[in-house]
Amino acid sequence: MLLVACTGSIEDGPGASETPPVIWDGMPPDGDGDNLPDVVVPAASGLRRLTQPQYLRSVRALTGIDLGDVALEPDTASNGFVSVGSARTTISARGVEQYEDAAYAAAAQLVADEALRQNVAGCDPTDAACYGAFIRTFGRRAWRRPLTDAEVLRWEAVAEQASSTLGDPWAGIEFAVAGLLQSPHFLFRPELGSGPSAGEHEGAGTRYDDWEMASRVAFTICNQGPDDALLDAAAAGELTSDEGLRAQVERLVGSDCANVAIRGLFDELLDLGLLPNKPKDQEVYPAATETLGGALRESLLRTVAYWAVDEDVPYPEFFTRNDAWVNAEVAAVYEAEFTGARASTFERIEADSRRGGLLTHPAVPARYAHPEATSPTLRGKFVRTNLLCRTIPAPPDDVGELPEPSPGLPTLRERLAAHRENPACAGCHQLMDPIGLSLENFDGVGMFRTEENGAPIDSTGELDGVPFDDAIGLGHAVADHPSLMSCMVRNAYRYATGHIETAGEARTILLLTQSFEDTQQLRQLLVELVMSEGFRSAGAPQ
Amino acid sequence: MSRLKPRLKRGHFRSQPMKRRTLLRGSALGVAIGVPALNIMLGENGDALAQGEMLPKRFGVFFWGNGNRPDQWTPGTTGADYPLSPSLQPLAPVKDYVSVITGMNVMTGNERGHHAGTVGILSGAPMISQDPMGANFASTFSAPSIDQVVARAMDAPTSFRSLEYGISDTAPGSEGTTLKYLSHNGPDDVNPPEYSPRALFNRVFGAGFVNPGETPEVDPRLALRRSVLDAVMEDAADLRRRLGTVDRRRLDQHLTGIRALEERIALLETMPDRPLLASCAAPGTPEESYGRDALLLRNEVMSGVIAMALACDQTRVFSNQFSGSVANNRYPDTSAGHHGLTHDEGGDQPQVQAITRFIVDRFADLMMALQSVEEGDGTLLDRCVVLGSTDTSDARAHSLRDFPILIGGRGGGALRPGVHHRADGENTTKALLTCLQALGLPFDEFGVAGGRVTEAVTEVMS
Repeated sequence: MLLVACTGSIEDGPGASETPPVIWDGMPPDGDGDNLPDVVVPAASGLRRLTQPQYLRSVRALTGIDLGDVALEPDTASNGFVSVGSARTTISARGVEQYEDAAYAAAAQLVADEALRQNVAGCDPTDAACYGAFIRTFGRRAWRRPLTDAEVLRWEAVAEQASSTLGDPWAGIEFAVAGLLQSPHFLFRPELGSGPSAGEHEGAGTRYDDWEMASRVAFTICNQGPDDALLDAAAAGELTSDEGLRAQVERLVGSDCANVAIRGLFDELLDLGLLPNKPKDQEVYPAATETLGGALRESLLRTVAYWAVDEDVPYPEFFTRNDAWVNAEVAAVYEAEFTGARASTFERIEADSRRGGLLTHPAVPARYAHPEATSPTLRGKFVRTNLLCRTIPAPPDDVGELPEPSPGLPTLRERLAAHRENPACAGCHQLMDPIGLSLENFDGVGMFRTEENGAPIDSTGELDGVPFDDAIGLGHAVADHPSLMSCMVRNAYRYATGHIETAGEARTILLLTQSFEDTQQLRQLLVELVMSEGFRSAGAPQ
Repeated sequence: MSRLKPRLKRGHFRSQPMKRRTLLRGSALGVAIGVPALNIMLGENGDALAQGEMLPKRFGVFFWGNGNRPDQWTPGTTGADYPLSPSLQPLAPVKDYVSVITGMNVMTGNERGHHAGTVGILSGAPMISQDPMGANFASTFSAPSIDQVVARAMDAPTSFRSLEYGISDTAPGSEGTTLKYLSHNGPDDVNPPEYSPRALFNRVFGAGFVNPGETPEVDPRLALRRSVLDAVMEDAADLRRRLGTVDRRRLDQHLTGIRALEERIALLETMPDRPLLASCAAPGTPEESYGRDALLLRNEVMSGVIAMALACDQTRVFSNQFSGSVANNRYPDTSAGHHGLTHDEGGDQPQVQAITRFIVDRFADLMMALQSVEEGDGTLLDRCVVLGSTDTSDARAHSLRDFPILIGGRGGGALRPGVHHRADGENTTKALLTCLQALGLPFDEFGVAGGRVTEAVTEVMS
């Protein structure tokens, strides 16, 4: 198969940001022989804004303060990923105010707690040298690199002014903390490829230097800034060597951070962020309380993290396994017995045989549905686009209408069939509906059903020529699909790098796909991704 | 009653922008004087402002998702005494304050349903597609949205250059900035809306807001906060040197926000005399929450907060993303989400029509909130220009033809409200240029590529 490299249509408006060229639509070429490019031409490097979870987790790691649901600049998902949006968007005027409020809230809480402030400051602020020492240590953690002398002096002056104005040495610590957390060096991740040249070929770019690598590894795996061990490894120059880098990423993937990475990746891949506030009609779905969406999201994320981290389940088996972590509310959707100590406790259940795999976890049918109805089209689009990396063309201008339910058209299957009689609609719907119709046994909140409008549901379906009888068959077809593994590689790469992979990175994607098809383990994929040439090399700053 | 000299403590003005601000005081600035106006400029009873001319003009955008039913929208006749159509019935109480423009087309291309119309109507420029194959589609604006064009051109010395809020937060979140945000400074550069009335209230009338006539003590922490922001800006200057052009623009936008915050803090420290804005009084604190579905109530409370933010001259530009493009939230007495209904409901789509009417009713609520504030010899609405529109006309067809456009307010006399103007086949950007000119801003053309126009809609101007 040929490697397709075309550039999407871009209106060249004022300041148009460039859309990266694509690699391929769906199935990758074999990564062997002639199809494997010799070199990597890395994508542009640049600034990434900390996402809300990254900000909150980093502040907590730095100060010990949990800011809870404080208002922050909202994250924007582009091309399905907040990480991609964070490399494109910036901080609004409102965001500046919100970050200021949040920084002072964290700093004030920190200095109000005597034990905590002693611990974080590490010195007595009445000592002349304390501010400088604190700013160096805290600054290195917050900005993920050592501060220059000029930077230390700049913030020392702020601390001293605060101390003398307010007559309180701890106010110096408070304002230094609040200030360092408002700096663009904290709020953004400047990863600019500050290392040496990455090769001789044209467009070889540069390497990310040790400090930049510390950041990239930490945010990819732990979704927060680097810990001291990672920073020390950077200071020792270990993160630009294969052995040193591998040691660190294996350490993190073996720690609690692995849960964070898997949860973050699947939250974006499945686009579950909408679920907690997704409108659901409680008259149609009595189970749809205000808390159900959030519980479904948490249940699915716990489940995939358990599979990937605790059990090292091969990725294809995610689509056939039948266990799940549920609380009482989610157990009720499963119609499963719940024995947890409290309704909010999550416990592991084995779902009954009507379900099989991730696609039948109620979070997925609930997320890809309307407030009052299912949507085979949305579900099929999700499987094809998010899980298999296939493009669905934009709907035509006149998208026609979906006939109302009637005695002749009782279920969505018949109604969508009528819609597809319009040839303008059939082309795309044929790519989505036969997938989604096999999930029709799961209603808009993911409960199992056998009838719609009094008529039995026909759950047969088809995926790229593979027919099946029901959702369980769909799960097996997805598990065996030739694009499944490469698509996960691409999605993990998007999640980790903050951009849609470019043609120049095909070598990295193909090598990672070979490796992932071999191991099938997501934690190993994360390790190899961090070790890959694409992840470690930088194009010119965007 | 009024002091003859402002109590400006110039020593506190450390940054250039603040000096510039003071210079703008009282100087001619387009249509509006520099405000906060000084007491010295008011008459003995503060009634100089009441003459009308010196009151600033304001601009707002009211945007909803998923279009209209053109057959139910277009009034039967044109001109001043037109009959309200079924969709426009809710405008009855404010009919004399709103002009209706029909028949125009968005001419910036229809590359992608909902996305193209949103960008076209709000900016007069084509959208930017971010469409790598094998991934979800995304898009963004190529040019600033009209609210930011106005805010930049006005450059008013208000506490906030603009205020953004929204009512229903159910637009798709993963398709880039276009659907999720109304207000854009440029590509991927947005001003996110506030969805909580309490949060909007706190932002405008919370800590630091001073009612006219009050003189609170200056908190010594204010100067420290400014020192912190100064240091942050020095950090940013170091960083900026290492960046590429795209990232420089992103960082510069961030710096713009930092400067705005620093100016606002400086204003709190110096406590310059506020003008006797007779109608300014902080509104009551909104509830913590109104529930997910209370669109009517939340819109009403937000309208009240924003009206007072204008009356207190905290800003002169606002936008309300009432509902985003493709928003699929539920409305009272309907069987499905809004976007779903536009595609799935058959026939004349009575439910879609009911939703459109409900939304027009909320636009009317905003008009009435602005009208309820007396200002000078009229009301706030007399000084406003409010653009109301959506992302498509007939949403089932993702049509950009015969676009629904409302222009509310009198624009300080520049607008001729209360008419229906039919402009078959004309460019919707003309409505944007009309707003700019009604506000007295120096634009004789507007828009990009197919969206570019050189004429306003004179039929709705006086």
